[in-house]
Amino acid sequence: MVTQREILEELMQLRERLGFAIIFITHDLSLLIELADSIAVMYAGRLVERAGATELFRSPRHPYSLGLLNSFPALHGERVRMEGIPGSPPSLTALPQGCAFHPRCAFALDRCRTDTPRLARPQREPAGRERLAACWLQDGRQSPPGPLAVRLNDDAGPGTGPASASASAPAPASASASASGDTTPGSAR
Amino acid sequence: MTPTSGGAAATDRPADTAAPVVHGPRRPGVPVLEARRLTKHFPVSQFGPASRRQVVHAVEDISLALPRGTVTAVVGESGSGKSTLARLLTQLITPTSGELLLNGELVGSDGRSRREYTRQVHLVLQDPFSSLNSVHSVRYHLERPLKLHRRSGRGELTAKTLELLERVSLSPAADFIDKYPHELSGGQRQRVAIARGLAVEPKVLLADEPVSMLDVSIRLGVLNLLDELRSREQLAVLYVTHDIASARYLADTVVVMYAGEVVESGPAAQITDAPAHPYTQLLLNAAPDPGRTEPPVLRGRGSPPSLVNPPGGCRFHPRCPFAMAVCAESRPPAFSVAADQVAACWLHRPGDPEKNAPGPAADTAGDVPRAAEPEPGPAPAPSTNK
Ligand SMILES: Nc1ncnc2c1ncn2[C@@H]1O[C@H](COP(=O)(O)OP(=O)(O)O)[C@@H](O)[C@H]1O
Ligand code: SF4
Ligand code: SF4
Ligand SMILES: [Mg+2]
Repeated sequence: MVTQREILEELMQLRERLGFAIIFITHDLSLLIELADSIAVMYAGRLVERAGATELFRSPRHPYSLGLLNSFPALHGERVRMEGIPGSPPSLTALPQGCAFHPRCAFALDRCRTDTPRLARPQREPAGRERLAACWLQDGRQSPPGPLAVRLNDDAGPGTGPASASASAPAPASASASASGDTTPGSAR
Repeated sequence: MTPTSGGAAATDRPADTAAPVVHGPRRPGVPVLEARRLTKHFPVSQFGPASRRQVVHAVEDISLALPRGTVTAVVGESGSGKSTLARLLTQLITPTSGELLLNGELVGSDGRSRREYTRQVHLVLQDPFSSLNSVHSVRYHLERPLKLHRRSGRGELTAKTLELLERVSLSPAADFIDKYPHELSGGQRQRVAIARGLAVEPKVLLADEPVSMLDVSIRLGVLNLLDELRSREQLAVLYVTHDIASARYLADTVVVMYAGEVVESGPAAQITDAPAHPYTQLLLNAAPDPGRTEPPVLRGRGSPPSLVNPPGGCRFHPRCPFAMAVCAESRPPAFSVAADQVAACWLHRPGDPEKNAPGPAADTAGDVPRAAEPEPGPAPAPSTNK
């Protein structure tokens, strides 16, 4: 852990100095939220959500992102039982029909079993948030369930742009990241 | 989560007194498994006669008690001796010195007591892929130990196998009993491996990084299973991990290892909320924390020392930002720092003026090793480049 953190610090310093962009590919979402400006979440070979790190952490729009966030026990606060995500990642050779996440999704609708949702801007997303999610819950035909409809405090505020999470970074460089679950049962990292 | 209390049987005894500090949850009665002053030195096989007597000091003088119905987490970086400790506790390897007690009785070395020990103390390995044989079904894997252990008849076997699957939440069990390992996900395989261990009705489960090779989304399921085995079946569980957040989640007591030694132990939430040892503080600052607003400041950078020639005194002293003269000279004993919490660090010597000192200056505020510190929050960062 200490060594990992030191290597990451080194990388981030290099980024500041040389101004390049970093793409982290990892399943360690809790680390990404600290390090990345923007995060792309993949499931079963597809991008399912893309958002600023803070936005993703505070107000995920895709049930898989929500499930991933609930898979990392916190370092502080009260200890509460957490459930992770039921079931297990599908095999890439036998992807479920429709939304590939539907067998594990607590919010699945009828159409999730047959139609694949496209990556799109959530219909009720406040203006100014740059965000994409591939989920039928976000197509505007229904209100998404509470945990997937959290609004950030600064949503209403004028001038809060998509870069609010990274506004303090002086360099033009950005770190983006991709978090992804296993796609085949048994594939190890 | 049910657990609340736990910690080390703390003492204020100075280093030279004989009785060692026993780490682990404190519960009334005799612990199922107790390790006294376990030490393991691996011989280093190298060329040349000069190095013939060199050894790796992998585990140094660790005493641990595992009561029934508790989870003890052993946390440390790679190479800190966690697996060696777990293997010593399974008797897979022989200690250089120290002894094991099962239900309060010294474990003998004859075949019979070894077999009894192996039955009662089960090791769950990190890799659920290699621990099952791909040519055999789930049924085969579970019936074998059932037959050997309980000499169950044909008729009962299926019923008992189904029951085992239900106990590890592979449900409905009938859907799993005739599957082969390749038809199962990593988490399901780890459950089968655990079920196989349960077949012989062990009292102690030693789990060495049981989720580190599993997909993130299914790790909690396996941790929750360990939690249930603790509360429902009253097993004594040792959970070995490098992930201090998961240790906090699951364990009654957290034991922190550095370079083969225990540096701190105590009730899980207390260790993470008020770490007393500089190394525990470093480990926590390095751990991922999405709630963090500033990059953490690491105090004590560097890597663990060679265990062939570990540093004298406190093994952490070459890295420690608080090191004093005494730290290089003598090994700090485990001092009591709070209820059930001990830290092997000279800063916590009773009566030591430095113990409760507010620290050298305000700029180190976050990390002054005080036991009563409510929040180990990171010190203000000199520069923030997120
Ligand atoms: N069989 C062995 N022979 C020699 N050295 C060993 C052996 N097993 C472990 N070690 C050494 O003991 C130390 C502790 O290893 P280990 O217990 O595996 O740590 P951890 O599980 O915390 O990563 C390491 O330096 C490792 O190289
Ligand atoms: S599309 Fe349907 S199944 Fe897929 S994540 Fe959204 S609600 Fe769940
Ligand atoms: S004993 Fe000394 S070197 Fe070791 S952790 Fe404590 S202050 Fe640091
Ligand atoms: Mg290990």
